[in-house]
Amino acid sequence: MRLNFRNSLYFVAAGSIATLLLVYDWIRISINLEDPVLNGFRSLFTIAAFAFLYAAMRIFRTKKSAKPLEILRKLVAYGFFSAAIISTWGIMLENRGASSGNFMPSNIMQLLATTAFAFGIAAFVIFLLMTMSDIIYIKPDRKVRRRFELFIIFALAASFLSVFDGSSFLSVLRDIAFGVSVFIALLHIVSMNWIVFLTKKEKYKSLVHSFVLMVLFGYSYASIGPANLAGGVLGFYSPPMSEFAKIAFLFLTIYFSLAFIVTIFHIPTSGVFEKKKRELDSYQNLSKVITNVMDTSEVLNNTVAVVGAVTQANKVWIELRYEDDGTSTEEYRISATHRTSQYELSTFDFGEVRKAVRSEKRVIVQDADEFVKFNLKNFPAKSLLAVPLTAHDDYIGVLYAAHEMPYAFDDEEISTVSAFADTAAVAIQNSLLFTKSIENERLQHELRIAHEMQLKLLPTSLPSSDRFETDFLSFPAFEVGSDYIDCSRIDGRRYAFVVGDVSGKGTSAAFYMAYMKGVFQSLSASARSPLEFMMAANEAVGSTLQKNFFITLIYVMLDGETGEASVVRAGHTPGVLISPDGEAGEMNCRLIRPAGAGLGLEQSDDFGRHLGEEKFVLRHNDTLVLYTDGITDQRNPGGEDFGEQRFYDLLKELSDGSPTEIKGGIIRALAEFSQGTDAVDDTTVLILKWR
Amino acid sequence: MNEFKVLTRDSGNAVIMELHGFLDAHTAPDLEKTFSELMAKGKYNIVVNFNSLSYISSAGLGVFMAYIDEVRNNRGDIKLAGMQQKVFNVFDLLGFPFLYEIYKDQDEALKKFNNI
Repeated sequence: MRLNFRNSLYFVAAGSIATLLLVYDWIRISINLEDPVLNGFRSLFTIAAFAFLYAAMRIFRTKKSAKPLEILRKLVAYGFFSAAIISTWGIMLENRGASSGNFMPSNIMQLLATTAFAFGIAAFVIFLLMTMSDIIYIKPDRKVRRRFELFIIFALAASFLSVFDGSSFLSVLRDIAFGVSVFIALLHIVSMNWIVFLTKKEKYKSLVHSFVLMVLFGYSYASIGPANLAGGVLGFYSPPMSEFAKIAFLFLTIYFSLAFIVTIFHIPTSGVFEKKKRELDSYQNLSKVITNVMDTSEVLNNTVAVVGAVTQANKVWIELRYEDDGTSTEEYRISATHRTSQYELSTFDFGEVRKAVRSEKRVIVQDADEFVKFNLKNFPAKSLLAVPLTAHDDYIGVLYAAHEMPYAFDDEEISTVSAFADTAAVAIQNSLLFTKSIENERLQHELRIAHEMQLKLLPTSLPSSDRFETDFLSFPAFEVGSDYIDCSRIDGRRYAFVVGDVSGKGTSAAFYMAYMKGVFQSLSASARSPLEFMMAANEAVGSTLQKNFFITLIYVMLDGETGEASVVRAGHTPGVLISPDGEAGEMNCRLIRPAGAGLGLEQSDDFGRHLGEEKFVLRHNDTLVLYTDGITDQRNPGGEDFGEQRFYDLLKELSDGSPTEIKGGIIRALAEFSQGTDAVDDTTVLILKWR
Repeated sequence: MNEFKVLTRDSGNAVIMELHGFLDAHTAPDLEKTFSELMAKGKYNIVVNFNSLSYISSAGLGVFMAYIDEVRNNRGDIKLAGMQQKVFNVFDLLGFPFLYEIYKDQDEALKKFNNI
């Protein structure tokens, strides 16, 4: 609010005109000059003076403060001052010998007082209307704005028309403009929406303020009427201004009479309105919680608290539904409570309510008979509302609200709770999914670790010497595998090679595979023969495995100097021996398949009795292959197995090459055959070639 | 394709268990359920007919292992019959012939029970 150059200029202009008028008036009363035309021109000058005053005073215009009560308080202050000035000035002038009726200042003092009074009232009227525009522009609406502008235009029109007092035609027009502006003032009754948004307490305050304002402005309006001295003074100084002030005060009186009545009418509904507002706020809070919170229990607790606050229910709680995919049974657990406890609720069976919620969407139990019907005879409440929590067509639970009074839930409240339930259900489901995805992530991580650990259990390379060469491949079908491949050096010249497969898949199979490694590493060194090794392994495995698990194993003991090999087999796929046959360069394929049951299938005695051993000597360019059934079980998109025969033929074809070349050939053939069909089982192949 | 079905019916003092389709890690629980139902009823003379079983995995084999002790402790037996060559190879490789009586057809197996 800084007086800038332009505003100072306006003030100076208003002041200069006022001074000129003062001089003119002095001449006028001195020579008793009463000419209607001159008076008309004089009135126009007063209008110019007040217009400049208004322009200058615009600087006092406040930044719109949105609080209606603050504005009302300001209006009371201005209204009180203007009423006070009107009454005291009148008394003052009367004491100085002025009389009402056709007032005419009789001396220079009265003339000065008249001028000061007129400008004082004008300033107050401008202040009041500027402040009024603030209140009218709360929750602005183009119609309201236009209506107020229209009122000002008609008020100005009426005051202009009062410049030329003599003409009866113009005074009729003036009265019409006056009437229209009053009518527009009355129309403001439909736009007092600022009252609606007041709280109950504020409404009472507004009522008092409106009444006071009505009285103050009514008094002011009555006091500047033509019958009173104040009215006479204004009428002498500036008929247009007098007219405008009258209309303004009448407008203010009408406006606040209406505000008083409107406020009275709005008091009974303010409770409902406040409740709605509270609901809306809670709803917003809930929405905030929904978008920001990923913690399920926090979402649940907020939901029951919000529902408790909005409905003022005595007890609110949420039951979530848990489904067991395996047994397709469902279970309900109380997951959040408000003004009640799991302990209190646990003594009641809500099965019937749940059933009804599922079929009827919402259940309202409001009288004693109904409570009996739902098996809740002794439930400590007289109204119970249950709505389903449904998110994306998934039924995830039930939201309950109970009240100690019968028929406590009206339609409004029921639909509110239902709306809450819908929003909350989405939030709850999101948080549940979030938790689940974190859990999944964790499990994935654990599996990755298991995968890496298991890779460390597999050898990175197998021994070779100048007499023989080896290579192998081993791919788990899933994160963790059940195949086993290993080698240990028994002594200076003997080696033990082993390939195995634990029945079943997944984590438990992977653990048994790790166990198998321990068994192999400890037994292969101490066993005196392959048979002895296998017997001991069966003993170790049989005592550990679950009944429906077993391990198949093929074990080769190789003399690294002579090529003498001894093979024992415990239920495993046979070894394949590919030898060049004669001079034709043809390859001969022989299966090494000594008798023997899988480890863990038989007790030691039977196992030993059934166990066979096969011995042979590896010769130049012989290839011995050990494998698991993952390779022969590999399917192609047509559902056909890779199969034994195809595998043996492939080996024959590849056996000219080194073990690494053979391995490459196998991988290529598998890829070509499967054409991207996922392996269902782990694939392991060990290739040993005698030089 | 991976359908699996177990049908059981009484025949004399034994129960015939007919297997259809694929028996692998996914379908093994169905077979386990059938076995435990029979155990609960005290039926321990069991002939498993493999005529219509086209595939068996190691998890499927495990089911027979899981119940054999209980059956034999109750003076019963699980006898296997009518296997296709491919299925028999799996059993044979594992050494099941050491553990179970395996017959060409189910009547032969039934006769063994009725002779006792």
